[in-house]
Amino acid sequence: MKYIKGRVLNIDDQVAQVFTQDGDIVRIKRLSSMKVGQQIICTDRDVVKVPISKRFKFKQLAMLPLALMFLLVSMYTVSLSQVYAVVSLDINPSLSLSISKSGDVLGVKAYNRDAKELLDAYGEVKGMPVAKAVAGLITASDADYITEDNYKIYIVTAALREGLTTTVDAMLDEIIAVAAMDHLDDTVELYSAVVTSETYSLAMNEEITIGNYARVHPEVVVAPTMPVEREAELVLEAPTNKKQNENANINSNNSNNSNNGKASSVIKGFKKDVVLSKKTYLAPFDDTDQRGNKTPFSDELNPKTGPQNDRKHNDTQDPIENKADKPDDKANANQSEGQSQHKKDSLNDKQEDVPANKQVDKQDDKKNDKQEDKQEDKQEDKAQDSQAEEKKDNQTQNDGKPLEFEEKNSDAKPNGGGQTIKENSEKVEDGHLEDESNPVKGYEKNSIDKEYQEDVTQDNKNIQNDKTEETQVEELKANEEQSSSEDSSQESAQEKTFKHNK
Amino acid sequence: MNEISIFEAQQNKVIRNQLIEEKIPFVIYMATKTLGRYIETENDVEFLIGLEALNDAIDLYDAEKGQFETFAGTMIKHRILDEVKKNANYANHLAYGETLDDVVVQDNTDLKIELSTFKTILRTYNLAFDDMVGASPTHRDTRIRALKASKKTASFQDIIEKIKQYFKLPIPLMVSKKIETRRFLYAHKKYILFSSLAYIHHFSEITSWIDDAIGGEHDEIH
Repeated sequence: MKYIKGRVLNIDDQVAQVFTQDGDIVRIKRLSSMKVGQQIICTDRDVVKVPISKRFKFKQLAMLPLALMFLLVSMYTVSLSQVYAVVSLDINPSLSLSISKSGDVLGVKAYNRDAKELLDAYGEVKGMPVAKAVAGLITASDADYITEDNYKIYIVTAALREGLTTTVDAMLDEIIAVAAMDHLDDTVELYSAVVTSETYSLAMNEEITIGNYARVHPEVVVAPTMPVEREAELVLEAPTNKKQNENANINSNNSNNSNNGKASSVIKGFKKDVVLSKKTYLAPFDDTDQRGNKTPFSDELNPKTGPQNDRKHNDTQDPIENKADKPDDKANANQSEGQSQHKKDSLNDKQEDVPANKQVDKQDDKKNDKQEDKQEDKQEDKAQDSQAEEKKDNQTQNDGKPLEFEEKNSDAKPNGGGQTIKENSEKVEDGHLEDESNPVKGYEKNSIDKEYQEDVTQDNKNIQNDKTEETQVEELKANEEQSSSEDSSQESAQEKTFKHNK
Repeated sequence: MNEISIFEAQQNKVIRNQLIEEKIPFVIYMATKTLGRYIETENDVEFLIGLEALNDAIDLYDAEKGQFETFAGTMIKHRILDEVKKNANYANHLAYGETLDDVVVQDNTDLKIELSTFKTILRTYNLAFDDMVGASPTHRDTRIRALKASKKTASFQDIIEKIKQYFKLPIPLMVSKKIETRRFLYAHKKYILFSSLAYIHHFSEITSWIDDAIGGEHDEIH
């Protein structure tokens, strides 16, 4: 440290210029009671190296982008921290999730003691995507709160302000999809609804969740705008107990919406999402859930009955390609078989699309279809029989073994080629082809047994007649030969006697 | 300075004087900080009291009392404050034999007038006192050399006329007059012009400072 002795040349606002004794001009901090021309002694700690004016300009320039960044960051943080939507989850624990613009959870509010315990057990949900958070909370509540008596989950959303990246309905669908895919079993029923922001304020006034408010006041529920395919799943009248609920679910799945009046209105306005059990999703070969209902998406997920079925449909329309693609599949060898298979598949598809209880309702329709199919097959078989007889006659004229040819040809006829009666009968015996599920083939088999036995007997009779004629001709020939042989023997005997005489 | 030297200074007067001389800027700094104003001369009472407090701090310093500068700074601050409190009752009173005219003379009115005029003239030459802070040579010898060149410049009338005509140094003419080298003149032209204007316009107070700087002693301690 050194000290400087000098005289004050000039005094500015914050600094003063001093002409030192050794001829230097320095800038020092301005203190009170400084005067121009005053002789002072200061230290080098008092010297200001950067001019205040330039420093101020530098500060201004440095502050400008900083201020802009601060503004942008503050605006971004404010927008992030703003609540754009609310999702309420009501099982027995009732809690409400506040959602950010991007669909992440900003905060959780517990409305009862169970919800507090659930949140304490689950941990932090802030910052998680709302679908994941809701699914996790449902899973966490599965052990303690979801019981046989308390099996309904209500998820209600409300958009509080515009600007949400996704719509509330899409967010709700995502929540339900994630919850159903990973976290629900078949003992849980999921109800969802959308309410307005006014409902949220009303619910806040009563200090309950919007889900509970919507259950008490069903008129506040706004029907979500959903695709046409999902409108069939809309259940405006839910049953009082589980069985009736199942019936309502089945009835809702029917396309004709023929309500039988069994359902009673309890949860008006709520959309009951179809209970999709984890098992049915993960085990697509099981088409039915534990209640015996056909799951609506199981056909799509089932590799045997779902997409392959559709492929089967397409393949049967072009039997040549089908034959080339699947040479082992004898059932799809020709067109008639393909048509019958197509009918069977279409019937199976219809059976799979509807639940088991619905199949019972449609048995009458199936019987009618069977009779029509039988008649059509009869006509076709008759036409094919006439053609086969013509071929058979032609071949009897050409070949010397008509009976064997007729048997083979008759075997090939009824199924249209490739598949014999024996094979069909074996399949029926093995259970591959059931008479109820495949009445067309059963009908084909019976007609073959009766009509072709008659044909064979007639053919045998004709053959026997032919045989008798042939035998007569042969006898005549044999007689002639015998006579000729006798003549020749007589001649040979005469020659022998002549030689002997000689 | 380490503690050993302070303990030596407690025993040895030579070392004590050396220590006090080294600590003079520290005393000035503490006095300035305590008073809120700069000390005017070495004979200020506060400065002397600060030196006295430093001397006492050397005697009273113990290793258990922490660092010496902290201990000494506290003593200097308290002593100066005590002195200020003592003189507070007599601040608005004139000393014995002191008249009101003496007080007015101490305001340096002439110097103020000179400096304000000089400031105005510098502005016509597109100069300012704050600009001279950066324009003054760093090294002391260079500054003295530049001040000498400016004093010599003011002695040539034709150069003065050129300066007043063109508001800048006529460097080729100055080189021809062998005042300084071209390179030196170009390097320190602002500082030389500043000091030359003081001589050209006959600012006696300012020129006396410059003369003091050229030929006088300097109190700067490195």
